[in-house]
Order: sequence, then C-alpha cells, then structure tokens
Amino acid sequence: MSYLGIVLTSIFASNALLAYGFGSMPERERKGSASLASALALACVNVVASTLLWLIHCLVLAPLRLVSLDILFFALIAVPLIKFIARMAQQGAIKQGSLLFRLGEKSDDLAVGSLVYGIALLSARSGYSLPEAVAASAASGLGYWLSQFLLEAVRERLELSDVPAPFRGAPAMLLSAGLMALAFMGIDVTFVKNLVGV
Amino acid sequence: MSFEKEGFVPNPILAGLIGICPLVVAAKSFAEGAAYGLGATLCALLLGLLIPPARDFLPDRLQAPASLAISAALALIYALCLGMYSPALAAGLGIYLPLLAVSGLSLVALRLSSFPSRSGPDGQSRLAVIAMQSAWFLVTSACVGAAREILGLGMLTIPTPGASLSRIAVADFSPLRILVSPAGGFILLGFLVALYRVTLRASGRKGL
Amino acid sequence: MMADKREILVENLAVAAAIGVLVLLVAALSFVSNARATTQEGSYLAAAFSCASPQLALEVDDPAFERIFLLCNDSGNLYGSVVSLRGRGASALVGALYSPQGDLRGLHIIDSFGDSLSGDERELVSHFPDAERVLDRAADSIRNAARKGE
Repeated sequence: MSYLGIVLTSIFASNALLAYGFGSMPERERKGSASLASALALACVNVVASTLLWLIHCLVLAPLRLVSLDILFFALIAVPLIKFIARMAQQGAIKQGSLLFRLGEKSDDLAVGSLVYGIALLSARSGYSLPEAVAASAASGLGYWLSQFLLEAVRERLELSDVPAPFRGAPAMLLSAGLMALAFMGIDVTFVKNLVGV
Repeated sequence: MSFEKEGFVPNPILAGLIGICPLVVAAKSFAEGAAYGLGATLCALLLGLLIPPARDFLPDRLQAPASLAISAALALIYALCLGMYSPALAAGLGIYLPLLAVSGLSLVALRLSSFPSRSGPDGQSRLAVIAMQSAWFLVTSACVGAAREILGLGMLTIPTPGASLSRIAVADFSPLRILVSPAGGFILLGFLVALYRVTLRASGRKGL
Repeated sequence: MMADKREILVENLAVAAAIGVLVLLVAALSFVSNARATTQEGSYLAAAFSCASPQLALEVDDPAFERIFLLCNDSGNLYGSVVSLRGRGASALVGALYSPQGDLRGLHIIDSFGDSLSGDERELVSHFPDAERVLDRAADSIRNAARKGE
C-alpha cells in the first residue's frame, strides 16, 4: 500500500477509537482536547512509541523468536523513555503555558494507556517497514484526535438537546460513536485503493 | 458510593464505563467476551495480590515501571495459556490479549493497589473492591459478547479447547449483522447502559 | 553521597534482576507455547489436506503466520501454513496449501468468528481486506522455504 493509502486507512477505516476501541470516550468536557498541543502530542507520542517498539520487535525479539514478548519490553523500555522525554519537554519549556510545556504534559498523560500501547502494537505487528510504521502511527494518533474532536462537538450539541433521561451523557455518546464508526467504515481499504490507486 | 452501606456494587462497565472501548471491539462473541473478561479478571486479581507486597521492597521511583512490567507479564502469560488452550480464540482476540496489561480494570487495580493501607478510598478492603469489579466485568463482558453474537449472527460460540470451537445455532439467519462490527458494539453498549440506568432508577438506586 | 549512589545502584540492580527473572519466566512459557503451536498447526494442516507427517520447513516473523510446513501427499511435495486473518467483526484461522513455486493450491477454514466461510479465496478476500496481501506474503515465504530446501 502507498503511504497515502496507509495514512487514509489509519485515520478512517482503522481508526484507533472507532475501529479498534483504543483510548476512551469523551464523557465530559476536557479543556484543550481539541487543541493543537493535543493533536501534536498524540502524533509525536505514537511515533516515538511505535518506532521504539518496531526497533525492539525487529532487532531484538524477532532474532530470538520472542516476538510475543513485545509488550513486556515496551512497558520496560519505551514507556519510561516517553515519560522521560515528556518531562524534559516540560522542564525545557520557556514558560508554563507554552506549546512545548502543554505538549510534554499531554504526552506524560498519554504514555500509559491502551491508545499508545495499541497503536504501537498494531504498527509493529502489521508487517510494515519502519517509515510505513511511523506514517501509520502518526496517522492513527491524528485519527484518534479527529474522532475525539468530532465526538466532543456531538457531545456539546447533545447537551443542548432534549435527550431522554436514561440516554443523557454516556449512552448518547456511545450511540454517536457507533454511528460515526459506521460512517468511517465506508472509507476502507477498497475505497482507498479506488481513490489513490494502490 | 459505599457498597457496604447499601449492599449494592455498581457495574464497572455499565456504570463506571471502565474499559468499555476495547470491550466493544474485542467481545464480539460469547467465547471472546468470556475469554477477554476472564483475562481482565485474572490480571486485576493477581495485580491486587502481587503489587502491595512488591511495593514494600520497591523504591518509590521504580514502583510505576515495575508495576507496569508485572501487569504486562500477567497479560502475556494469560495470552500464551489461552493460545495453548484454543488457538482460534487467541487469534480472534488478537492484540486485545496483550492489551489486557493496560485495560481499564488493570489500571484500576494498579491504582487501588498503590494505596498505602489495605483499605481503598471508601474504607472497603482493596482486594474485595477489585474482586467485585472483576466479577462484574467478567459477567458483563460475556453477556455483551453473547448478545452481539445471538442478535448479530444467530449463534452462540462456546469456548471449548482445540482447533474448532463449538457453536450452537440459535437462528438460521443473521438478524443484525452490524452488531458484530465495532459500530454495532458501540450502539448495543449505548442501549445497555441506558437500560442499566432505567433498571437502577426503577429499583430506587443511583448509578455512579 | 557515594554511599547513597551505591545504594541506588544496588536497588536498581536488584529490581532489574527481579524483572529479568520475570522476563525469563515469560520467555520460557513462550518457547513452550511455540513448540505446542508447531505441533498443533502441523496436525491441522495434515488433517485439512490429507498429508502424513508434516515437517516444519521455516519459521517466519510475520504477523499473520509464523511457520511454513513441508507437506507430502499424492500430489508430491507441497507447502502449507496456518494463516490468521482479521477483518471488521470477523476473524479466521485458515490453512493454506501452496506449490513450491508459491501457487495457491487450496484453502481450508480451521475456524472463524463472524460468519461461516467456505474456504473460497474470493469470499475470504471480500471478508478480510488484508487476505490478498497476507496470502501473497505467505507465497513469498514458501518460495524462500522451497529454495532453502533445495
């Protein structure tokens, strides 16, 4: 598949939240979840995590026939490293509210969670080369940000609507996520192949 | 909300929405839901048992990475054992088995196990809270998987050992095929959460 | 200060040793699981394609399949692999039979979740978007295995 095909598939048909269920639903208002820092943090953390796991997988585990242990080495090596880089970014930021500081803060929160683990595992185990894995993981992070952004917008509209009491909050969000997942399902590998030719 | 006062334990998935997103995608049949729920349950219980004594000899700066490593090891051990029991089931669950290391339930168990005393935030035994939540998670996961499979494919898969799993045909057509896809899982879970709230309200309780 | 640093180093080494023991335990279980999976996959392929005593020809690092087997039946020497396919809401374990040149000779569904599948290649490709790529990768691996066997 071409890089454009990998990116489009990772954002839509293989969306981290709506197709794989990584991460969590936006249950309540989170300040700055739609911000540039959030999108950058998602892309950067996933790229770093996927690169580390890909290297561990291909250079260490595959020659030893221990590929099933990738998540253990990920927890031991990649997660502390990501947290270290995030804290360095926070300490290196000129002021507390700057983009670098917020990037570091959000990256620190993301490091332990099914989103980063899941995207890293998918990229390492999909048979991609390193550049393809980097592209797929960055696109997956952005796809997650996109689905969160859209669901936040839906949540804001739902708060203003007259939703029946049992459906207020999480049930309405889950139904919205399901309908959005249906829409994203349409942008699958066949559609991408017809669109970009590969 | 203390369950000692009222004798009521809120469902961690339907009330607290713990670990719902991976559950929605992983539990697309009864066998997969039961296997995923059992894995999450075992990992959480073992974390509740192993982390507190490990904390006693781990320095503060190494507790978090060591806890994550133990969680990952437990998830891997379960994944390997499930692969030996039923390769089809392990292949069906795929990457959701190693992701049990960071499932919602495991993270809750890690957080509760990090409390200095044996009691959790509400004064109950830490292990009892984890055990109750795990039991609910297992039951809900299996039920969600069964509902999706029966309504979606008209059959029920039983997690038997060996190459092929046993299946019971409930209907000779697929009523709502969409339910086995992630989209259908989200929609079904939305209705289940709403139904749970209606049930709670009817019984005079409040959810989380 | 030197004593503090030494103490920190000793603590780190002790924790690293403990985690090393844990890694070794999981690695040992992984080897046992691998050995059992080799036996199981060989027996699935033998039963599916009526071959006697399959031999492990090559171990591969691919996300969808891990082993290539040499199978002997009335048609001569053929190669097979158990391939794992995943799609939206469906997954399948499929036995694939190939000629030494990498031509697909047969597919047998060992088990599937989601739908009842017949083992027809076009049906598999329509259910699992990645099926074509996975089967092509398996064909490449089989050509490698056949070359190594010569």
